[in-house]
Amino acid sequence: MNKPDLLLKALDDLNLELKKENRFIELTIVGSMALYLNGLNFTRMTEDIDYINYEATELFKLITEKIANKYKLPLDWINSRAHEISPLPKDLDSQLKTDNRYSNINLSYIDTETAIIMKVYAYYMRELEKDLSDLKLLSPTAKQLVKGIDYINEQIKHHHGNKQLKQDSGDIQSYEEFLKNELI
Amino acid sequence: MNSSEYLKDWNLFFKILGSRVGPRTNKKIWMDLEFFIVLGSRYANQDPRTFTGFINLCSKIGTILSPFKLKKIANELLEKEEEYKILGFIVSTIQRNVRNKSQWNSIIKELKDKANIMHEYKLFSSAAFKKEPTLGQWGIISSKLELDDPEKYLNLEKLFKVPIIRNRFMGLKAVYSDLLSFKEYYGENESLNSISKRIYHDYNSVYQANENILTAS
Repeated sequence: MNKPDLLLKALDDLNLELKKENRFIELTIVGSMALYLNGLNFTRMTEDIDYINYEATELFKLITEKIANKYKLPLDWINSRAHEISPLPKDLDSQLKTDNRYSNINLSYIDTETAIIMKVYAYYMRELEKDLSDLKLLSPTAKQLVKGIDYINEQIKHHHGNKQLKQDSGDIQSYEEFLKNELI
Repeated sequence: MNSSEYLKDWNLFFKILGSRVGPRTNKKIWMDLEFFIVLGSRYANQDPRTFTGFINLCSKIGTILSPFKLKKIANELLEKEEEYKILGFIVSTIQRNVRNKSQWNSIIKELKDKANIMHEYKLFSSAAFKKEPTLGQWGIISSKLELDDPEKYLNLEKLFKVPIIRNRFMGLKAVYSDLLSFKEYYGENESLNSISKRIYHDYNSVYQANENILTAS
């Protein structure tokens, strides 16, 4: 069984446990699992399920820990680290896709373009090789790269203001050139 | 064995050692531990997650590895400049965490001579917006790796339960551990001469270890 299928199986268990407790949750999946749900089968990419827009309850934590032990997954096999990203890309909500396979989890996930925008931002911020490698596999268009760069600008402006954005503009421009050379 | 078979076996053995990257499998395979490490300098750069998991594994088990055996296998197996660079990076990562640093110095010196570190090598076939400096010391170009999170791509609990790893951590000498591990997988049919070649120890050491194991049992 490959990793994304295993994670979906784990999500299936989560759904069954929620059903037993008569609880319903809404999860919006971002990151590599969203790409898998979009039909892109990059199995080596997917290591966990990243969600946003949901505050984990104690029950949720207990169930997911139990499932981690059952399938020998890391305890953070489902996590909200991406929740810290704020503001989210502008069109995220309108571009969300839904997956109706679970009775007690209202599952939605970002589309490929939003994933690319977030990856462009992630590589700029974290400078991790895996983000660049994922971008190569996603083969973004020049237009999508520009949207990613716009998102970086929005983030910096939102968190640090226009002055910082002006200071960083040279670096961001070099980054855009770099991505165009490497990916287009 | 051709290179695609080696790659398949290397990936499979890495799964046995706890890699979290790639599909799960219940298949079993035996590979000599130091041979696996050296072969990793050829195959671990298939993607950044595999590479990160592999480097973290090397760092975790560095203290139980034999630098002399690694050197011997590297001299037999490696051919390309980039393979020496990657092994150099692996060995210098290990050296930072071990006490017997001087034993590792000679292999580092030899690898530096063969790696041509002034010549840059793109680890994942692309440039890096911001380069990882520790890799740069070996002439390797890559962005940052998640080397501070060993559990992310490696199941450490699984790693430390693998007999060859557990035995060595419990103080069993490499030759005993390798001999027992080989016999456990392949049975008792192979000659000691052949086994000594497969586990990269000299015949006399293997013969002596085998005698002692037989006496003890």
